[in-house]
This record gives sequence, C-alpha cells and structure tokens, in this order.
Amino acid sequence: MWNEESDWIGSFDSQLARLAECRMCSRDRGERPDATGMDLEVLEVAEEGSYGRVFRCLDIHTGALVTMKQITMVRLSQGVPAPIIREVSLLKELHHANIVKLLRVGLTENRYVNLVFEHLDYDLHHFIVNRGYPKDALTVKSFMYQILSAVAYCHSLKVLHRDLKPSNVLIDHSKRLIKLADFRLAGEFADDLLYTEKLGTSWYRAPEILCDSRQYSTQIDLWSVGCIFAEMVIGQPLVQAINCRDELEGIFKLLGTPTEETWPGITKLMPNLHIYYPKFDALGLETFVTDLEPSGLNLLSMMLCLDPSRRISAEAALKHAYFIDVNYVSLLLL
Amino acid sequence: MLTAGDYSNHGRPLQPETSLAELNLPRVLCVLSSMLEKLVARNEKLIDILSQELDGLNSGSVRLGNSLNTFHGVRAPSISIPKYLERIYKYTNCSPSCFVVGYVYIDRLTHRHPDSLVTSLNVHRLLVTSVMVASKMLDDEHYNNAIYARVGGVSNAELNKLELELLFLLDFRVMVSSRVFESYCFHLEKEMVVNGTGMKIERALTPKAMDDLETEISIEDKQSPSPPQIVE
Repeated sequence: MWNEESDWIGSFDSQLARLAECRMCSRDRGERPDATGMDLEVLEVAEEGSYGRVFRCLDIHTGALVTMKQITMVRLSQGVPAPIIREVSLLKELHHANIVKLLRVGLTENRYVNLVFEHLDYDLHHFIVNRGYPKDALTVKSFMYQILSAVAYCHSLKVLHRDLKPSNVLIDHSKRLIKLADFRLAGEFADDLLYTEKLGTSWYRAPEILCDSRQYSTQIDLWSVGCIFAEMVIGQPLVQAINCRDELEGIFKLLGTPTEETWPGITKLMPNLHIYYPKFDALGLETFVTDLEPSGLNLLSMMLCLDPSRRISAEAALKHAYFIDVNYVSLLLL
Repeated sequence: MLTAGDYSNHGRPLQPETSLAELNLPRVLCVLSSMLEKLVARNEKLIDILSQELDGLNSGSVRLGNSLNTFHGVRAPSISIPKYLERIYKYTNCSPSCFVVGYVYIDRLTHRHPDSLVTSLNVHRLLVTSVMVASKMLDDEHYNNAIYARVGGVSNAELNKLELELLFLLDFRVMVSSRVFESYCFHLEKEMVVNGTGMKIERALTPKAMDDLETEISIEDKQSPSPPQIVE
C-alpha cells in the first residue's frame, strides 16, 4: 500500500522544528488572526482562499493540529456568504469517516467567521502533483472506495457535493484515510430542482452542466469522481480545457460526439450540437487510461458515461467487481 | 397560486375587501401570519399573567430568557405581520418555500431556547432574518442582505448582526431535509383546515424565475418604496 520511500512527512523532530519555525514566522509577519476566543495558537497561513484565509493552528487544550478557515465578511451588503452557510449547515448534519469533521464555529471581531476543522496532511491534488501520483493499484482502489463511500453517504441524505475535484479530497497520511471537504457548493437536491449556478471546476464538470442543463442530480458527482479516478491513474486531468466549450470538445473526442441513440434528449438540450462540434468517433478511455485493470476500466467507463441516466450510482459503484480485493477490514477500522 | 376561480369552486364568494392582488399571494403567507399572530398573542398574554402574579408577590418584573434580546425593538412596529410577510415576498422575490423554512428556523429557535418568547417586539426581525437565511439556503439566486434590510426596515449593519445571531443561536443547523419540510407543510395545512380554508400550500422547493434579476444588486440599482422603519 504505502511504502517507506513515499512517506515524505519526515521525522517527528523535523516536524516540531518546522512548526516552531512557522510559529515564529507568523508572529513576525503579523499574520496571526484574532483566534484567542477560539483557544487556538496560529502556526502559519496555509493558503489564501476565495472567502478568506486558511490557517494551520494548534488547539491550546488538546495540542492537536487543526485547520481554521477564516471567512472575512468584507462586503457589508452580503452578510455571511450563502456558500459558507450551506457548507457549515451541511457539515453539521454529515457524519461519516470519509467526510472532514467540522470541530467548531466561532466569531471574532463581529466580522470573521472562523471554521475549525480537523487537520489533514494534504489534498489529493498535492499528492498527485508532488508525489508522482499513487503508483500502486491498491492505493488507487482504496482511495476510490473511500471517495465513493462518502459520496454514496451524501447521496443517501439527498445531498449533492457539486464540486468534487482532487483539491477537495483530503488525505490523512498516517491512517491512509481520505476525506471529502469543501461543501460550499453542496446542497440538497430534489427531483424537480433547477440549478442556476455555474458549478464546479470545468475539468471535473459533468457534460450535462457543460451543456447548460439546469436540471441534474446525483450523476454529476459520479462524473467528477470518474475524472478523479482517471487522474489518479494517469497523473494528470483527463481533459484540460480553458473554457466549457473546449472542455466539451475534449470529452466528445474521448467518448464520441453524442447522438439521440447514445444520449437521449441531447438534441433538445443542445439543438446546435452538430453546428458547434464535429462528429468525433470515440477514441476510447483505454487509449488514455492505460495502467488500469479491466474491471477498473469498466467502472471508469460507467462513471464517465455521457448519458446521465445510464451513469452508475455511487452505491452501485461500491459493489462493482473492481473493489473485490479492497481490504474491507482495514477500511472498517478507520 | 390561489385565484378567484379557486374560491368559487369551494363555494365561497369573494369578500368585497379582498383584492385580486392579495389572492395572488402564496397561501403559505396567509397561514403563517395567522399562526404567528396567535403565537405572539399567546406569549404576550403569558407575559401579562406572569407580570400580574409577580406584582402580587412584589417580586419585580418578569425575567425571561435573553437569547432573543438582539431581535428586540424598543416598541412593536406599526406594520402588521401579514403586511410584513407580504412585503418581504413582494420585494425580495424569494420562493414561497423560504417562508416555510423560515418558520422552521423560528420553531427551532423556540425549542432550543424555550425561555425566550416570540413577541411583537421581536417577531418582525426574526421573520426577515429567518426568511433571508432560508433564501440563501434554498435559492441559487437571491437578493443580498442590503435589499432584505431595506425591505425589512432595518439597517444593513443590524441585519448582518441579526443574521449572525440567528445562525449561532441555531448552531448553524439551518439545513432542512425534504422530510422535515413536508412535515411542516402538513402542519401548516392542518392549521388551514382549522381556519376553514382546507387547501394545500405551495410545496415546490424550486426558486421562482428570476430572469430579469441580477444575483446581487445594490440599493442604488433597484429602489423599493421606503420601508416603514422597525426601530422607532
């Protein structure tokens, strides 16, 4: 599963030294937020997000590492951003081993909403880019099983994630554990619900959304999971494009331009389909995703199915033959 | 939506004072305002009784929970609950389901903080805040806090404070499952039967069409008639 040479976290001593260094840096730079009310000691600024900053912190009472997302309410007219309300309220309801834990929510200076999460070592995007992606098939399989478990759980509660991508999949290195994060675009779905936002990152966005469909359901998450699956195997996104049109073209080159036979309703959804896109014959997933066993390729093709109604569900995917040799015992102990 | 035809089908003639514009309002507004008016009346009666009993015992004034203090005004606004709900619906373009979910939040508040009562001093602020949060949860496109503040007759800064207060009082538990939503719809419909209008309320959890509306607009972009100020 995880060999010693891939264990890049380093020794305990060097980690402590790094934390001490970060502590000094953050104090010197004056980047410490007011987290006193949260009983946290800020170690470093991990990243600048779209809604504020993310800090790596130390819980004063437990000594545990935590991640604090600090949302700055800069726009008086907006109040608490809707995606933040959605994310927090959903995480309050979602309890699963493969979903990141929201530990607490606090308020400082009446303008910062602080979300304190359990700390995880890094995300899947970082793992793929910096670690040369999961090289052994069992790690890919374990990761996929855990991602699908979390997605199936969300879907069972009628919750769509709507923004699944490698950077929203967090990894606990020591426990070999995967956790879904960033539920800002998530929401409860209904059969008749019309969605109006342009959701998700285009590389992982389902074709029905790229085709401007406002009516979609759980299948959009499965497409994204399929894209993540392929990326774990080949080490780069399956289709990378700068805009939605090019993304669709890339998908059609790979899987073939859809017709009423392959995707019933596509001509109604995209009346000008054959004006904008040439009629591509499918190159086939096996052309690009070469290092995947036949059952894995079969599962991938069921996830990356153009017709949403024929796309496999998360629950069905977990029962697929590809997972026959997953170490269920170790997963149950997580 | 309720039309004149719906009324005649039920053998009830139109009341002279009922305008067609009012009939186009979602039925949920009618039942919700009725329930909230009853709740406020009951709570204020309770406070009066407790005050009288304490006066008799020379024990000072009634001490209720202070959880809803932020929502309290100095005096009750002059605008009635039905007119206030109508105003929110008319100017914010939120879907009717937001009012059901807003009611769920108020109900959750009273269960989480049973010593804090909904009264005429706080009901308006509770309503505008809870409907606004519900809209943020349900509608992918919604007006911002500045618009809700203007419609609700409070300042933008105050509404922001009320929003945070509501979220923290509810521990951010503002997700309403379709099962819970259905049960509240059923509860509201039962109330309609009691009131003599046995009809179903609007259940769609879909936003209203907002084709001509930007997701966020400033007050300068879209003026609404100056709202009655809640705080006098």
